[in-house]
Amino acid sequence: MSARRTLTLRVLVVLALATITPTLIVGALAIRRARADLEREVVRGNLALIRALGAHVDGTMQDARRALDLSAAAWADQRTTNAADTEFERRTTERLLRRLRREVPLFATLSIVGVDGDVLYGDPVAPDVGTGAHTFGGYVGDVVFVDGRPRVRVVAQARSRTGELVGVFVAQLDLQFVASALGQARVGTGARLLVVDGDGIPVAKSDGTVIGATSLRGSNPAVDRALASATEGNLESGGVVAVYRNLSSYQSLRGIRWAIIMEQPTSEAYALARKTQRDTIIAGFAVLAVFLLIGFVLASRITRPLRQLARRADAIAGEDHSSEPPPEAPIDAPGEIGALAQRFEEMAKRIGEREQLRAALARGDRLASVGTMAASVAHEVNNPLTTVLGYAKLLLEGKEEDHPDRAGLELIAEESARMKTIVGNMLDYSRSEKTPHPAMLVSDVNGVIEKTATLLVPQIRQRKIAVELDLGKPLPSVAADHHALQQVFVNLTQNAADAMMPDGGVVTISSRLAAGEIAVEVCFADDGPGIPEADRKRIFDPFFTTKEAGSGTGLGLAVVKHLVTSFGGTVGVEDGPDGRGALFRVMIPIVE
Amino acid sequence: MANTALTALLAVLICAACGETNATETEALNDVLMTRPDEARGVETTLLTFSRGQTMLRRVLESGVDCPDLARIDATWLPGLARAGLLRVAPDPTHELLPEAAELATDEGTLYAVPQSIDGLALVFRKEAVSRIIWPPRTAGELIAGAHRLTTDDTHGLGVRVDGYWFLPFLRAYGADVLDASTGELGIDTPRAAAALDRFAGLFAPDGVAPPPPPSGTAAQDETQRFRSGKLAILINGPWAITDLVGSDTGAIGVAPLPDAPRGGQLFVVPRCARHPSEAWQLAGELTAPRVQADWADRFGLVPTKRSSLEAAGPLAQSFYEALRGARPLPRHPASAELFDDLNPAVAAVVAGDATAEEALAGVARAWTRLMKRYEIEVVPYVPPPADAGIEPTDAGVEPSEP
Repeated sequence: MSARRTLTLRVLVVLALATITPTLIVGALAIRRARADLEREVVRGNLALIRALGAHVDGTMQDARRALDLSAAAWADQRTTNAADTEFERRTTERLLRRLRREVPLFATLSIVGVDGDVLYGDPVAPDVGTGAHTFGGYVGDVVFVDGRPRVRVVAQARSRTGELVGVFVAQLDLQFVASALGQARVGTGARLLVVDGDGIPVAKSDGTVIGATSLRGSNPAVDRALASATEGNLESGGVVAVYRNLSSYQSLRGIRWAIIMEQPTSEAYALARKTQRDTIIAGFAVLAVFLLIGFVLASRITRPLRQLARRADAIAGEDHSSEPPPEAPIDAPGEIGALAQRFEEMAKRIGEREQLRAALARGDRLASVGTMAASVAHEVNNPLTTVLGYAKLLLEGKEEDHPDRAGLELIAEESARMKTIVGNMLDYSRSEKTPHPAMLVSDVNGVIEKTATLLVPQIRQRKIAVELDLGKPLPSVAADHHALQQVFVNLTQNAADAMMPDGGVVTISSRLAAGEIAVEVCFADDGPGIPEADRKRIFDPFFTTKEAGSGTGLGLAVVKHLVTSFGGTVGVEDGPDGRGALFRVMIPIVE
Repeated sequence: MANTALTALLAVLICAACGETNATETEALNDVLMTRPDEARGVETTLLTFSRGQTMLRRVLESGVDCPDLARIDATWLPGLARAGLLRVAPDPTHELLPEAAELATDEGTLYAVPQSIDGLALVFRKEAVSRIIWPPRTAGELIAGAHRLTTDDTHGLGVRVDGYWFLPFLRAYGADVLDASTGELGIDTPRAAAALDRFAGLFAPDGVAPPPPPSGTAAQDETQRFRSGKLAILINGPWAITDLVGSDTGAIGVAPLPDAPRGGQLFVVPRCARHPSEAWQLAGELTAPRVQADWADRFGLVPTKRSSLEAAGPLAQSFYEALRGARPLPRHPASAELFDDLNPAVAAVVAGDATAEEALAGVARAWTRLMKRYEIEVVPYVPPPADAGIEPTDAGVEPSEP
């Protein structure tokens, strides 16, 4: 668990440091940049709006001024040409003024002032206009309020074709159209538009009527900035974002241009930017959480082979390597970890094999010593036993059936014979150990089987055991010593017969060419109780027996295993047909 | 003079001045302001166009609202403002002023201003072009004759603007002049003036020596382009234009006196309504310091008003000063600043062929008569000489030699 925690957390930390942290930093910068861009776009959009409004107002004003200039020039020419006909001049001038008023509804008042300052035609002119003085620049003066409506004066010199000043056209423009234009403009929530003159006095605004001539200079930073600017710009102050632009048509007496200003609360102007920022952050964290989860899963998957390796290492450290380790699913992992797992598996396998080999060697050494000693003992015991058995049989000869010594002599002879058999088995095992690779061929396996049956049937019939043969033909030759092979068959037949004692049964011996046709398969099946699973691994070990004490040496199957192995074949045990009894399967390689 | 502007110190202490089209001069002004100590900063500058400057400034000074502490004005505005009591007397006249500059800053014997620069009209020429003619010309006649010799199919000999100020040397060459308030003579209603205007308009005729007048507002750009491309040999202009005209071709360009040229200049004045007059005079001194004048002479062609400044200035500024020494200022009278309001349209009408010189100048005479009436000056009407006198109009020194 600690390994998992450590590995997974480490991988997560690496992921965080390598990807998440830069992503967060870059993401934060990107979000900040995106918000700044959006805010800039808001400012640009507002500037574009006041540019359009300003152009509309400018255009209207300039059209009015041009109309006044053209009328002044036309009047001057006409006055110069018809200087003598005053009545004609009066009629044409009044007609000109009527047409001018009709074509330019903005003119609230319209007057023609002579070069001496006297009003010649039209409406009265306020004395502060300064007409009749010297220079008339054609400028637009400061705003004045008449009946609550803002007006501004426009002056146009009337010069004749000779360049002589013959009069001045003075008009008052009604700027209510500015308020209408501002009021009809489609502005954002909470936004308001404002036009101020060079003194900061509101001329028109979008959210109501201008009342009074109170200057906003000093109280409205946007107005101050706008009047100090030569072109356009923006200002953010006091929770309000403002854009401003000079209006080229207007210029106060002090040379300060009028300005159009748009103000909007920052919360409204930048609402979209803030929402975008908030949504982006939420989405970013959601994506981050998802990727962290994915990262956790990936980290777990990446570290799973390592955890498996750790468990395997723990198991290797604690398990008994002398025997075959329990099967475990192979560690499946890609790349370097997969290669490491594969190497680890190979290493574990080799360790197991080495440990098994070491144990086998140790056991083999012990067995070899025991075998050598047993062979020596058997050899030494065999001769006295032969003598005992010979004398016992010799003493029995000529004894009557009812002779009192006969029973004792027969017991001696019988036990001696059994001892001789035991000794013989020991000598067989000893000899089998010494001749592991028989070189002779057996061309007729079935013949060996039949001969084995022939030899054993009389002996085992007394034990109510029958032998049935199921021999497949023809069978190829196998690489096995004839006598050794016969001993294998004898041992397995007797072992099957012993297993069915005392009830008896049928030993079935079958032979056939094994699948793949590389070996001959010979099976010995019995009707006995079968061999428990726990005993199957040890059943071929020397001196291992499940028989009662004194009824078996535990060497029969060990000899079988050793001889079959020496043939290059295998021998194994399994449940018999239909799950009854035991079945020994011997595979003996054929000769090419 | 064309780029002269009025500036007003609106807020705290001081003001400065720049031409309405010369952004680099504004930057130079700001550079000077930035060198001031922190406590002396906070100068708010307002730029007014020259054409409306006098009217606007006068109204501001009369009302006292938003009164500037320092104003840069054209020298012709000084008598009108000073005699109306709208200006303060300069506290400490310097003896280092060049006499031409001191004359501009003085009205009726009182020094009212710190002169910033001397200007006026002179001849800016290509040296290789004038080598074939009499140079420098001693009269307008020699100038026009030389210009004819330099005029070819794709080159004009003389660049002149359709403007009363540019007409003035030719008017003087014919023995006429603008009004003299001291005598009441208008000077413009004479046959000599009409002849001068006819001759002036003839410069722009198809067989004349000057390029056709460009569209309104493009004169400076047009003459600069022609001169720098070599399609104009001689140009009548002021020091304010020299930087644009010369470019990097300093060695090939020269400046020579224009006969009967007008002379003027730019002045720093402190209004009577100024709230910080002492600081304003101090700033005026800083803006006319020799180092600043010499620098601005090289950068903007402003001819210095102090001897030490002139000695430190470049050769073109010194040439302009020499060329302007023989020039004559306009009459020192308040009305002088307003003369061109009516003279300019008249000159333009004659050059355009919309009016004869007599018609146009008669209109000017009527306008100037009204002007004199405002100043309560009795105008002396022009009386033609007896028919047998045979002296009107004169062409002495004007008629060109045969090309």
